[in-house]
Amino acid sequence: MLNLSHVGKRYGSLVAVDDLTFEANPGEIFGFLGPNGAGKTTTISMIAGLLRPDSGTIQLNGGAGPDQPHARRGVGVAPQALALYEELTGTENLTFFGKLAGLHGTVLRERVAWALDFVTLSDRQKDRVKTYSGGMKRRLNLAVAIVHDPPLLLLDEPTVGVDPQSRNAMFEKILELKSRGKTVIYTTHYMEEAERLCDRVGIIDRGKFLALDSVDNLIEEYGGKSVVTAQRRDGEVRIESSDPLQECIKLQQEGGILSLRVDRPDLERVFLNLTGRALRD
Amino acid sequence: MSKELLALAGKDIRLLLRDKGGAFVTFVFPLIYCVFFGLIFAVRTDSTREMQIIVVDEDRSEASAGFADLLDAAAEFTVKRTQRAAAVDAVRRGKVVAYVVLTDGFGEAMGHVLLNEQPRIEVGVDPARTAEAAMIQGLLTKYSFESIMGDLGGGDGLRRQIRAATEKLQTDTDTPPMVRLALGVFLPELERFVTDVEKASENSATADGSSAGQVGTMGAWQPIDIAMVDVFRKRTGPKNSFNISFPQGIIWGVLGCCASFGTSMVIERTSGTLSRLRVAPIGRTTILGGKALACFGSTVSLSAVLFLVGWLFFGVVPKSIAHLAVSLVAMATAFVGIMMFLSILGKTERSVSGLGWAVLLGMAMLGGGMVPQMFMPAWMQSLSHVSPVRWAILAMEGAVWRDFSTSEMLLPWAVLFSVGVAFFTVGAKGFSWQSKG
Repeated sequence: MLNLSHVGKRYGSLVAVDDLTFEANPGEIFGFLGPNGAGKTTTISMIAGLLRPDSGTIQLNGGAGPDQPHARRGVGVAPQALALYEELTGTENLTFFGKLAGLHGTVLRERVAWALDFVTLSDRQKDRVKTYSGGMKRRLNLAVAIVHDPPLLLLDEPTVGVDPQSRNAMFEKILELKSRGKTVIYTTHYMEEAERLCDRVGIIDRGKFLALDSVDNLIEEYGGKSVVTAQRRDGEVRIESSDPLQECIKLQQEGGILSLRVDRPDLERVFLNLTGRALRD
Repeated sequence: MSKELLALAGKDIRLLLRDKGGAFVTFVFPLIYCVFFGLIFAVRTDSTREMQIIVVDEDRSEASAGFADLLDAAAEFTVKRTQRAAAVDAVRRGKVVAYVVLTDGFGEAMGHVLLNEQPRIEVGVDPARTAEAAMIQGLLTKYSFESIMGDLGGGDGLRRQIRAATEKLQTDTDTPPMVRLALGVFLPELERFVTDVEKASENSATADGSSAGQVGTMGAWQPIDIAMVDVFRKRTGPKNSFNISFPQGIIWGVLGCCASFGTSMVIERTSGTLSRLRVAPIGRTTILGGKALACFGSTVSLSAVLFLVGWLFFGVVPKSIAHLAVSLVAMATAFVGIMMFLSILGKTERSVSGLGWAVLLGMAMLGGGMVPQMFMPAWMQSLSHVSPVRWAILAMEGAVWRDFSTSEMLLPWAVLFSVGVAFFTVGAKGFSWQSKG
């Protein structure tokens, strides 16, 4: 579906992307997790054909590179910055981008109606985009990416600036797209999103993959042990353990426990362990 | 033409129309300009109420000289005197409204006007100037009556003398009876004649010429024989002031289009929609082509609609529809190229808008978009050759009122097409360079 081989990109002396190699499979949500400036958007831009890699190759949907317009027909992009015509209505935006993707006539009308319904904007379809809320614009941004029914979706931080309720709704939609067989490349710096949505995650920093695997495997390999924190009358005790349940039972049996807390390793911890920095530094 | 290209162009035109400010500058302002300056130029033209005529005295008699002086002193005329050939040429070139030739024998006929001999006057005028021709006929009739009355010593004085003579005749016993009888019939008839001449003179002064002499017993009697000669004028000037203001106003609409679409390229870039267009399955050429097509279509449509308004309501009638059509296409091509060039002048909407309008206003100032070229000093007219606005106005005027031949139109067309291709090439290369990752 998508294949990157030793892809690199530099801006002068700054290495934005360094020797990235990975493959995304059909029906998979592949996450790029990394802090701002890690190279996620640059990678997405190269996959979308906006930037030309300095080295390496990118193959879309079975061979052609993103510099070929026909290859881009199978790609839908929801850029991080909203890219919509504010003076046009929701329907007009979708119709326009649908036409550019080669849709016409009844098929176009049906796809536009479907996309509006999918992102629950049917009731506002005739309103100009400038009257939409931030969350509605985000949803329309996603609708533009899927209106032509592409097998590969590039979603670049699609939940930026979205309230928690809308974010949850967006997650549901992305999982629904996955269930329809779409391959989704998803960039984020929120580990919760990566953990919830992604089948595999590539942890990226300074343009390089530090690790690439499923969330569970990454945590197991790089997350370290769980931490059990016990509050006792004589103070706090922290114990690292690969079997936190057993540690809790043992502490309970010792007695004098006021409270117990178990911190399982997560992707934040994975990133910290890999880089020595927190994800949001 | 690909559907994608049409979709891109349609989107841009829709966005232009939804931007109220942009739509006003592009579509409404030029029309206001056309009408406003057309009216101003028209007022200037109408304020010259005196008709310029040339009087040619071929009779060289005392009477013809007196009549020429009478016309010279007339408030309605500004009179020049010259020979017939020069007079005909002046009318043909449109330098004067008409020429008036006092033909050989004018003075002698003037002396025998009571014997129904009519002095002959030849008037040469462009047949298209029907109103002026009728007015000149009426005025010449009026002044011929005045001349006759002057020869008779004036109406009131003559009438007093007739009445005094009639009264004296009634009491005079020295006059032989036969003579008294004859004078008794002649003197009242003479008074009636004088009165009728005066009435006819007054009437001719207010009429357009066609009703002259239709009062009282004078009936169809004319004191002079006016022969109208058609002198077809060479059209070297505009038919009316709107023929000047419409090409100028249209230029402002074209500049508005150019600025709007140039700025829209930057807005696409800064708002991210350009990236979205670039990831769509279309080539960069299609994106540029869509923008160019939208600008081209808007420019041609705007110009055509404004010319149609000018034609229907303001007498802006093109001499050649084909020439005008090619001129509009050439002009649109030039300004599409300039639009592409403007779009790469800056990286923000503000910088492109500011720099763009600075460039366009400079072109307009030099090229006659603000002040018609005919009012510019010679050095500025020479300098205006560097402005595409000059060539665009020339191409439109050439098709509308300058009556250029096709070979004369080739130069402005070639300049405009060349400007379009050159600027578009530079703009497209700049666009590619700016978009390059």
